[in-house]
Amino acid sequence: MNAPARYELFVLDEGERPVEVIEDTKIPNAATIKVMKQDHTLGNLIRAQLLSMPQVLFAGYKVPHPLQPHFLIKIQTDGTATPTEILEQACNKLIQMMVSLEAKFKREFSFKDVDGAVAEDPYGTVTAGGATWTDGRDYLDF
Amino acid sequence: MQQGPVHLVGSILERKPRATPLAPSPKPASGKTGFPAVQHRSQSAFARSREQQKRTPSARSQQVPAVQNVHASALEAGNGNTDDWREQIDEENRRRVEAMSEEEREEERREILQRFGPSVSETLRKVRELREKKRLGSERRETEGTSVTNRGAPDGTFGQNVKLTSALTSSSGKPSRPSSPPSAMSRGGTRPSSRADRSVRFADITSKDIHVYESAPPSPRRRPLALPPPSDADGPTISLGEWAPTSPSVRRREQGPFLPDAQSPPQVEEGTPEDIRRRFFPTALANDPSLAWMEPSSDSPATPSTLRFDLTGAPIPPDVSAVLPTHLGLHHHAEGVHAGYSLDELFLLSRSTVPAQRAAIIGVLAHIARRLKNGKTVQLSGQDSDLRKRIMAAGIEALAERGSVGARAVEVLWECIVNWHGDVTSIQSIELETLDGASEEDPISTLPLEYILSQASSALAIRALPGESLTQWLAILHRLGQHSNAIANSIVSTSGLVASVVQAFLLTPIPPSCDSPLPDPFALELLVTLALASRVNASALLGPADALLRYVTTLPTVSSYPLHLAVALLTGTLRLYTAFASYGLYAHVATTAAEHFSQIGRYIASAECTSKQLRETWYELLAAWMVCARDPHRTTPSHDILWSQVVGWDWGEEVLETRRWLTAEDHTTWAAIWRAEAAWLEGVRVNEPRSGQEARSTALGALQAGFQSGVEKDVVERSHQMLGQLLDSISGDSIRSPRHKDLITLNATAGHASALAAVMRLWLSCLPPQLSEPPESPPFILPFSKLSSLCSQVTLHPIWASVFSSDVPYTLVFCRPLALLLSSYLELSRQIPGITQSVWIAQAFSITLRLLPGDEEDAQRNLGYALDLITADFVNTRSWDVPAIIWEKGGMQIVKPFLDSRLQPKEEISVGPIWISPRSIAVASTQRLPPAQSLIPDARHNYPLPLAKDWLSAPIDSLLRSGDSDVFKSLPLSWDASESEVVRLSLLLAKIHREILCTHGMHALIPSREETLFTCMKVFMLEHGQQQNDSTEEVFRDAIVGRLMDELVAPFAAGTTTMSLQLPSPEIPAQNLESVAKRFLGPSTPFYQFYTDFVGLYDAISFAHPLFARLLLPPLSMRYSLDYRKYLWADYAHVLKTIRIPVDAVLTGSIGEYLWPVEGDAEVLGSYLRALIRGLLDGVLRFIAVHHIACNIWSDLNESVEDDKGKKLLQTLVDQAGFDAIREVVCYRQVQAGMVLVPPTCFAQVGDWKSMRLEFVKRTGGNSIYDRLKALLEN
Repeated sequence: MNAPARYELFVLDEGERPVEVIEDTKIPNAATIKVMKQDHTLGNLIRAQLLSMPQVLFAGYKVPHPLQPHFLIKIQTDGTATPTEILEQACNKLIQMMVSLEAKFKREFSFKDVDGAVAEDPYGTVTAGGATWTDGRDYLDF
Repeated sequence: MQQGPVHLVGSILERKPRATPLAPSPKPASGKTGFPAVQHRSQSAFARSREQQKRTPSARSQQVPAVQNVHASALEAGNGNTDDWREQIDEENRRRVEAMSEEEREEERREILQRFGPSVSETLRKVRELREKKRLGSERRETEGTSVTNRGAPDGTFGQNVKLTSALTSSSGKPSRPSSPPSAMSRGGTRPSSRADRSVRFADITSKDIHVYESAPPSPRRRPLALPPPSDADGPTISLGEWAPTSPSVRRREQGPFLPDAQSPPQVEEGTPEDIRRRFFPTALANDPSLAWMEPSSDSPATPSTLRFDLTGAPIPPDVSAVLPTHLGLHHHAEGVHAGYSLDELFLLSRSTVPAQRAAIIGVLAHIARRLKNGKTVQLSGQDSDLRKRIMAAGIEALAERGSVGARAVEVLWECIVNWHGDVTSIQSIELETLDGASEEDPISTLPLEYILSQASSALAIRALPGESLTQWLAILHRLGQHSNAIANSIVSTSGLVASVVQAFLLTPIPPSCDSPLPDPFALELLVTLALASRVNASALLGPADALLRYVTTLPTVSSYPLHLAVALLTGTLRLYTAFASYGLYAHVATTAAEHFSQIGRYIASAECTSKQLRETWYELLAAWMVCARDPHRTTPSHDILWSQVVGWDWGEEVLETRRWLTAEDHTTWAAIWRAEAAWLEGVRVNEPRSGQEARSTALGALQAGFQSGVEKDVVERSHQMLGQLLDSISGDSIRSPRHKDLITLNATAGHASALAAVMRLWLSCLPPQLSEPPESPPFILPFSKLSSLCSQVTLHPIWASVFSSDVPYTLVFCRPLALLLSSYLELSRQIPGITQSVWIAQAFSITLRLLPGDEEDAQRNLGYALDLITADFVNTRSWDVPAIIWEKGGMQIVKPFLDSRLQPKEEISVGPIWISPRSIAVASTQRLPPAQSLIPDARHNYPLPLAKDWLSAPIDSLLRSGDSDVFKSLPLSWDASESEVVRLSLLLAKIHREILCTHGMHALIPSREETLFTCMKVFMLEHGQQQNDSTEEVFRDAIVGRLMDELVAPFAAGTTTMSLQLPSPEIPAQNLESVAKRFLGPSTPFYQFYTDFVGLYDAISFAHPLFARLLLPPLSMRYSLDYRKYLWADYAHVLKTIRIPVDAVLTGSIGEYLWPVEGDAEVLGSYLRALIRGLLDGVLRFIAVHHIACNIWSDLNESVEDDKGKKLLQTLVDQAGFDAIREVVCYRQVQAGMVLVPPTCFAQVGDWKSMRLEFVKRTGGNSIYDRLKALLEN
């Protein structure tokens, strides 16, 4: 009964900023970035992308509380780029990756219509048009 | 027998006689006169015929096997006197023949010829000749026997009757061994002796033939049958008869000529299954397994493995038990032929419904228990605790019985409970719960206590049992009360039990009449034990205590009891009052019976009193009451005893009076006097005007001379000297498994230690109050420097390391005076001019680690002094670079509440100190130490003391547990420090602790590597679950905290000593992070869980903090479980990139523990390989990964490597990894002993192994890999 409305998990509040960057005053080239209304899905993705980039010395995120829909990502770079820039780069790379993934997926998916001969069973395993079952033999013949 | 047709079941056999039956053995006729033998009429005709009937089967059983002469044997069986019979018939025939006419004779002859054939006359003649011949031969043989006496028995079957003893030697075939008739009868043990044919054994015995040995030897060791037959010198004996070897086997042996020939199967006893088979089912198989059940179970010599006991509880060796005679009473109730009773039989019989039998058997069990305890029954070693439980159970079952069964049951219980550890009766100030090992094995805890106590209650109320049993009950109750506080509480709360004890043992009639029992001082001992166990008990015992005044009102000299008993009773009563006073109870009796107590005081101060113990107890009591009087609000009820009264009674003066009777030998009495005087002076200081200046100077006037050059000086010197010697003779081993001698040594040590502690207390009490500086001149002279070195010896003695793991848990009791000595010395040393602040702090830190439960007050006081001394000035003069900011909020006072609360006992388990104080009498809940095993300093326990070495990190613990920590509720109002400040100060304190102990050479007391690392881990974990977003609020980012942590861990880095490169790694240390963490985390949270949170925190917020990263590594060593490596290397592989630690910064004592033994788990190896391929690794992680991969490829590094696995790893590596990784793995070389080769030297080694590796590459990898690696592996 006290559960917050589901939409609060992904709809930004009135006037709420989706991303907040807190520069770290103690550690050089480090920042904590607070991303609102997001969870592990995005956090983990960004963290993994950041860690694969050579300029990043440290990247980590945490979801401070499971009922509060935001995460904090901490980035430290080697100084060639600020954490904000690196985060932008990482996000761009991720978007590119998503775009190409989508394109690839759509292409493969369109093959389905073109290549009508290839029938797929509901579980996605491709069988050769059911050929094995139509040439008059069934498994009992083995 | 096989060829004989069988007509009837049973004994009637019809057999064809042989054509020429053998003549029976002619016997020398008993009646040579030719008349029939005289028949004695001593038996009635009925008895004779019964006898005849009984004898017949035995005769038959003898004859049946002898098939051939059935005719003769039948005749023989029918009438024993064959010769007479034959002559008689012969005579008759002759007369008849003479009376016949010639025709008649012809007729007869014709008839015979017709019936038997023409050769009959020849046959008859031959028979006659044969008979004559046989008779002559037989007579000759009979007379040859030497050991054979002709008894002329009426049955006349055999003339051989041998005296009992010689028959045994001749028939059992074991001439040297004493043997018994039953075993000889039941040859081969096929039948129980008791079932052997009794008629054979007893039928023909006359009264003159039976000997009764006046006392049958009970023990098998005494070889009862080696006794010669009684001679005249033995006095009158009654003969029970001579033993006739009439058993079939014996007969057959002596029958010689009548035995069947050797080819025939061995004879079997009649009635056995084998006999039936041979007779009735000759075609059946001999050993039909489906009939195996018919074989008697004791066919094999009665399972020699079962141990059998005689009536004294001694085990009987199996061979002896087979031959013991029956008159020893060892066969009567047992199964089988063996003498004695097996344990199972004993336990069965212990539930017998025949009281006498039950009592006897329970008595045997008691004996067995005693022998078990003494370790005499070696056959049962190992099962004694199990057996003890069973015996105890048998005893408990019989407790409710009346008469001797009940008495024996009490005895059994006494053996198993009290006598099992007979030497602990005097141990009073500790619970003995773990005396028998861990609590689940402990037999006493498993007793049905409620039942036993109610039985005890009724037994003592009714007093139907004999006095010994009641005393045993008392001892049982005492031992149970010693066992644990819980049991002691239930003894007191059992309704009527204490009242019955008091009634039965203490409130005996006065004056004692000759038949009334005397009071038993041991009952007072029981009451003291119960009172010491808990405050609740003590309050409950106040009621009966009033009645004990009867022992106080009359002096021992005029008492109606014997002097020693009166003294013991008085001592016991005073001890009980002391026990009450330690809870602040019952002090009003001092007022109530003031007159009598002053009498006692005079008596004790006089030469009349010879009992040392009474004296000491009296002064203990005075000391306790004076402590009670010091603060009237601490007693229960308050104002129970007042200082003005104490002054009125003038105890302070009285105490000193006894001194003239004492010598330097009585150090314990001296100690008691000093303690009482100290208590007086301490009270005076609080309660008298001008802080008791006058009383102090009076006392000093009396004391000074003695300590200058009197007996007191000698006592101190002697105790000091003895203590030093005794400490030298105690080693760690003698504590861990102490023998009796060691316990005596420890006891003496404790005595001298408390004497020295007492004198220091007296010295301190002579000082004026509120001294901030050492006094200008000491009250009296003590050997200060000697005491100082002695105390440092005590502090660093191995006794402390082993006392908690001792086999005998109560050795801890003897350490209590040592701890007391140390804490008194610490007090003293504050007042000695020569001791600097730093030395004193070192003493305080080291001695605090030695304190035991009960010493919390001292520990808190010393901690307070020590924290007061640690100020900015103190630190700055030692050039430890500490920022000034740290002192701003009040310095160490910030952490004091946390440490104080660490030392604060919990309400319900507050152990009272040895020297009671006004505070302790108000709060102590028990006066007994908990069992030593529950106090191990390095384990988690419920008591504030003893402390672990890292106890100064308590403030950090409180911060981590801020939710359920009590400290925050009781902080002073002025306290307003932040988290970082608390952490800073506690880290600083830890640092100072280490530095000071290091400076004074107490390295053993410094927190270990694991403890320090875990403290730092806790600092990081303060951020776990915190909400803040900013690193500025994180405690570990605080510059001072970070620096202090770095300084703390600095000595543990691998780079600080070359020892860390030594291979093989040293022995596994006693502590690891898991055991250290258990102390803080408790039993339900494993360290692994803490570690996962730690890694998660690192992943989320660390920004690759270097120390944070270094703390991740210790659990990755090969000494820890595989799970840690899997967790970090496989599950958190992405954080590896951020851990960039050089090899020499690793926090370990040995790099080798990360390298050897080689990792074998495929998943972890895969993670190593993946990380190498991705090129993420740096520093020590890279080193570790390369090492384990290389060791799983190259057989020159690791003999047990499998080619297959190595090939796969190599293939993957070469295919996917970068050049550097390949080069490092290929060129990696490591040693198993000596110094670890660290990067880069480990990649630059040369040797034959390169060509071996190249060969391996060629063999397994094919040409492509070979070509790629060739350049690397060729020098």
